[in-house]
Amino acid sequence: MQLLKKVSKSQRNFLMRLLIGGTTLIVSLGAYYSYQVVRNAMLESLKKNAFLEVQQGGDDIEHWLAALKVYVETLANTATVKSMNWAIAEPYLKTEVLRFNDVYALAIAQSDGWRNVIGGSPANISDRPYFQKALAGHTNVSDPLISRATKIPTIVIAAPIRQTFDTTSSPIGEIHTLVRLDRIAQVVNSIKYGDNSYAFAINSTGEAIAHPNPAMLLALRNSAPKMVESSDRNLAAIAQRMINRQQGIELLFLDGTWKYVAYLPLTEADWSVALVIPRENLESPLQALDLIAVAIAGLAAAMIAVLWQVQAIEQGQLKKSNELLEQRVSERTAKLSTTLDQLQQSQLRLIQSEKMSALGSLVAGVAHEINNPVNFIFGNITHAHEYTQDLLKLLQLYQKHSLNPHSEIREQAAAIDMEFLTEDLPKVFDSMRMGVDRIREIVLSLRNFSRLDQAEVKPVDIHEGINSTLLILQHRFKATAHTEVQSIKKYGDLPLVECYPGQLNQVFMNILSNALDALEDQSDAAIQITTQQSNADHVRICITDNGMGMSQEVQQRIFDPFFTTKPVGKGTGMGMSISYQIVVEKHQGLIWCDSTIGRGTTFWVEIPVKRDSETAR
Amino acid sequence: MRKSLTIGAPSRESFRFAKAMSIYRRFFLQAGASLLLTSLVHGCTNPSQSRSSLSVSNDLLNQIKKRGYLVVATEDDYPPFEFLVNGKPTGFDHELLDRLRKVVPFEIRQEILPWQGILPGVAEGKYDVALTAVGITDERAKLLDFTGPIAESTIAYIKRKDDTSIKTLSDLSGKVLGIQQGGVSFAAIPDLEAKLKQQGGAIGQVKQYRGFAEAYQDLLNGRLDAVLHNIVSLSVLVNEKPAIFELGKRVSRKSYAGWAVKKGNQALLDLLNHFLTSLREQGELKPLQEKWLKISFENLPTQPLLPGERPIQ
Repeated sequence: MQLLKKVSKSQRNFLMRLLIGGTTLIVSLGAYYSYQVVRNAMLESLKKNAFLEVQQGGDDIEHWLAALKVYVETLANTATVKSMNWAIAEPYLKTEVLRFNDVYALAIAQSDGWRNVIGGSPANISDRPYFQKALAGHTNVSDPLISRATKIPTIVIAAPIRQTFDTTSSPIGEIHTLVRLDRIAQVVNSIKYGDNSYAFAINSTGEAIAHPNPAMLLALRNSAPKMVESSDRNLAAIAQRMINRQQGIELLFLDGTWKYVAYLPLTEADWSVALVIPRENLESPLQALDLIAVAIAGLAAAMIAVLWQVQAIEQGQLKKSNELLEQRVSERTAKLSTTLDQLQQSQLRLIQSEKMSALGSLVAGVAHEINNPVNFIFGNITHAHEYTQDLLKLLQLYQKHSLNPHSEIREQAAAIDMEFLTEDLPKVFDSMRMGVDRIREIVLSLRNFSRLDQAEVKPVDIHEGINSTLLILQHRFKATAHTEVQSIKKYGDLPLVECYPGQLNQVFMNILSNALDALEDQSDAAIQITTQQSNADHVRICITDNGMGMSQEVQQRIFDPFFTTKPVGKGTGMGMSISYQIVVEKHQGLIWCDSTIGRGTTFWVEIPVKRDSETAR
Repeated sequence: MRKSLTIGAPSRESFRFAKAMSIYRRFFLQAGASLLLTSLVHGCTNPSQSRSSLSVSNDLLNQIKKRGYLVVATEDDYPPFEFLVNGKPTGFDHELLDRLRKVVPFEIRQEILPWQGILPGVAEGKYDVALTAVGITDERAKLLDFTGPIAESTIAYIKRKDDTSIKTLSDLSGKVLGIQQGGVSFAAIPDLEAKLKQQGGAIGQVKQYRGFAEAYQDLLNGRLDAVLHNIVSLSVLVNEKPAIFELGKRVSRKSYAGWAVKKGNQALLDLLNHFLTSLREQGELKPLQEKWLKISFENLPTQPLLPGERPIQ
């Protein structure tokens, strides 16, 4: 039952923890999930924002390019240009160059490829793709190139010149504007998203058109390094996507830090613009969210810890109270069992004392009954002795005065051996008197021992009690032929002691019979009985034997009820226990022993001379 | 990161910013009660600039800290020094300002306004620095203190690229010159006249224009032979239009442009000078000049000098 309870308790405990742990797990998972959702949504919006930035920049470039295209087309449609006469066109175009901010030169090419340019000498440009495209009828924006006239990194916006306004007719020539490459760089570099962000643009072959790092640009070399061939794999991948005219925003590891790259293709030219944003610029609004999340996680952890602690404390208290309860139960059990023991002992004592009193009354009765007939004998034996003495005297007178007695008399006298008879008869009487005296003595001892008449506290002579006990045990002192136990009495001067004499005699009887048991079959066996007045209020009786002695374990348990070293049937194990109770409880005395194996045992009994009226029963 | 948006008129940019903010806000509302905490945390985690490598005097620092920031004024349309591209401020001074921001331990707010408002604003104390190329003149030196020059503002000339008759300064003798009415270029005429006279020449016709665009047009058309203007503007123009114009020599005494602060604000002046000197010592000023001004000045003085390289008394 208890085991079952224990199991269920531990199970409940486990269940409780499982519940708390499970709930915590579910709640934290939920919280984490919602945090992620919010964070992602925010991040998406921020990314969209950043992408808007690059889109805006892209739009600006598109507008700019579109304006340039329109401008060149407008020029191509003027009569001055359509004349294809450089001498006429040049002054006009010069003022246009001055007027139009972004343009640094204008040029007109014949359909055979020979072109005149402001500020430069004529040259053939039939190999230039922009020229070919323009002659094919398309207004187009060239890739960056080094101008042959000025040696300046340039882009060219070229348009066809047609004789009529019919856009399907074949061009008679080509007009193009030259725009400094760094004009684009200016526009591109103005795209920003916080500190350390930068924008760059690449053309259809992956060359940088605009980049904050001048080393990436055409200005320093004849051919710009291609970004797709960059040693930075991430950068190369992005460049490849830009060449493929894709758009998007991605988180990349660039130049040793994580950066967002938003990229977008342009429609007016075959270019793509990208904006590189340090991660923290974009994600800084998320820091607050992250901080809150961390704070909440911390709080939750603290809460769980507290909850856990509280539960642990509660359980500790439960355990404590359980222990207390168990302790109380066991205490009560112990008390009960002690009470039971006491009850059993007193019952046993009752039986024993009943037995003893029955025996006592029997002995007393027998002694009393014997006493009377013995008194007849004792009383008459003196008279019988006197009478036989008188008769013997008379007989001697007869012998003296009748000289010749009848022969019959002589024969009879000889037959009974008159002389011996006369001599022996007093001896017979002496012996008889002695026997009667012994009987009287024994009877007196029996009466003394049982003291049926003395069941109350009386002042008695302890020595008398010891003596009568010894007398009763006399047969055991001379139990065997070859050994005799010597009893040595060293009686001191004792006052009369107030006690229960019968019970005290029983104590002496128990101690002495144990001593006799210990001395069995031993030569030079002796029991010494010493009495003395230990102080004004107490007498001490010491009974020592030189028997086999007791071990320490036996000594410790000697006063325990039912403890015995004797074979089954020989001892009850109650003798010393009862003696202890008689001395300690009935007489407020002390009983203790000292024993050495092989050397013998000594018992001490110390009892007060006078009983306190309060403790008297 | 967006603090530069306190500037100028409401632009397309600020509209986009507002839109972005509304997106943020929606999310914060979705995040519910965390909004308050978020803004609180956001405020705390936004550190002020602390990468200071410039020593700032304690007095100045306390003065700036008291207000919380430093205000600089820049021009809206003064290429290549300051101008707007797609609504975003850029230019030589703007790039210098970016670098200055990185080395001072306080916030710098930028006000962008037309030229006419800048110097009076600085003199009144409305702005701390006129962070633009302010020509260092006797008149201005009475009201303002200048940093060491950031560029020359010496007057030079340009000619048509295909005009081979002008090769040296002395070839300007008798040529038709264009200048801005009442501008600094007008003040250069006496200098040029003296120089030509020295070489036995004489100054020709001088035409005055309201704006340079007209003058450049007339130069292209042949009505003028040269236009006089400050050397930076001209070098930028020639850089833009290399096919039609060519830069000539300096025609006036050397003069300089620097940043200006209110007269007597020595601590701030020291800070700015220290910044500019360290830039120059690290060799960073020259590339910036080449990038924006299309010309670099080898031996700029470290002290502000009045035209003719006269020290300020």
